[in-house]
Amino acid sequence: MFSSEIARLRKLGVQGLLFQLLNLLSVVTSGLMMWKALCLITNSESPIVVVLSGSMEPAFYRGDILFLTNPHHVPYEVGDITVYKVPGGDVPIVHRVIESHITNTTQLLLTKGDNNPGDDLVLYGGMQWLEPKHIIGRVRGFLPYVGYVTIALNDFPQLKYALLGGVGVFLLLQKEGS
Amino acid sequence: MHSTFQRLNNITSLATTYLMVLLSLISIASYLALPPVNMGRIDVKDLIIQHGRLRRYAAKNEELASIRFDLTTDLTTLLTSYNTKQLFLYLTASYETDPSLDVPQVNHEVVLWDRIITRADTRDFRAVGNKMVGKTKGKKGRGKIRVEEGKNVYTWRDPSGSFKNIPSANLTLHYSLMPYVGLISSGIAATAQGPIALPEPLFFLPHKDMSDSEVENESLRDKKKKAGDLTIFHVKVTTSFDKVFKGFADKYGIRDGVYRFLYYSHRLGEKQTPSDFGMRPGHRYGISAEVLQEGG
Repeated sequence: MFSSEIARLRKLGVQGLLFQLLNLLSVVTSGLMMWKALCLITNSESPIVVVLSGSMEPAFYRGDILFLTNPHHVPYEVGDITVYKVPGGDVPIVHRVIESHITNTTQLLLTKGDNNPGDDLVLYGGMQWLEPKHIIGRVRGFLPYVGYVTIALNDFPQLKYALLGGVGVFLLLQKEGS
Repeated sequence: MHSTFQRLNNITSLATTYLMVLLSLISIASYLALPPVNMGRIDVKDLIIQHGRLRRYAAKNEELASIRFDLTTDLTTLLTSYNTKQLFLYLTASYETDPSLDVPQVNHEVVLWDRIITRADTRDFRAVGNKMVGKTKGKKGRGKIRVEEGKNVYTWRDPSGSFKNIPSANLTLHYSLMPYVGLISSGIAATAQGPIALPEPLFFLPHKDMSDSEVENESLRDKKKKAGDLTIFHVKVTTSFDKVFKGFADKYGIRDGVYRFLYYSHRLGEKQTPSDFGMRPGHRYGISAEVLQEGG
């Protein structure tokens, strides 16, 4: 079954194999560069996020993709949907701002999920207010369903390894110029 | 040489590219062609400030504002636009510290009331109080919003615990449009006629014969009251009694006509003023509320 592939690998030789490895690396690094460039442009540490919970239904469902921006020194407004992460919390939360109090030094924010009965005070881990330093960005764009791929990959880790392995093997074995 | 795998790969990548181009064109076009909104209006019926506590652990006694308002606006054009999934309507109060005072300036904006209108709603939205009316037999339509006697669903409070440095607030109804795909847009759907002045707080203090805990822990709504039960409270009288009664009713969640209010066994009427009973403004008086109906 793999005899032809092995034969091809033999034909490539060490130099060819290294060249293929270089190809693989350039694919990975260019992806990383594009992501980091997007981070720089949007000033957000994670400009694209996937919705993981149903707390913003019917606006966002699990698996929807959100595009964020976080311009420097632009205050958040009430009604903005923000993505925030509190110290000690492991997942970013997508919720709407319902209170904003701008003082000389900072901005105090309170958020709530559209589908939740109460506000988010219990999620803040002892803090009374959310501050701009906790916020990753505000939601500007929306693309439905596509993010479900990552949820599936997270829920079934085998799928993730199979996919990564498959892509790696494919790139290594790919014939140049084909 | 083209293998089946390569053909499949080419087809899916081409399809994905075209789909993405189409979706981005749709989102840009719908964002640019967003219809204008006829400005609706908000009428503030009543605004009172009283002392109370939030229903949460270790809440402090602070000033809480409650508002009643009427609201009309028409968002049909937005809702029937082809890339509209839902509208999130939210009524905000924005206010700031009195600039003439020598205290730190704070700009506040808080949501008092909100409502989601989805494209699937095929009836105009009409509500009295916080209840929807005519959900099944209302006029067919989409996007006409009418709220009568609406109340704030979120507690209106200030981080400082007091509204004393705040002269007035502006009320605005905003919308946030969620598209099926593309950019989220927002705007203003209705405004009040002008800034609303914030009144002096009303005081409902427990009578000295009652212990603090008795008043704080047994709110009238949680406990079935017998006819003839008396609740004694102190009130700082400002202008007329109807605000006092309204504040008391809001605080304890009681209905009209279930209680009557007494001052030394004299019945207090809504139309009467404190001066009718020889009360002086700014002073505190003990008033009692008597239960008239069982289970009120």
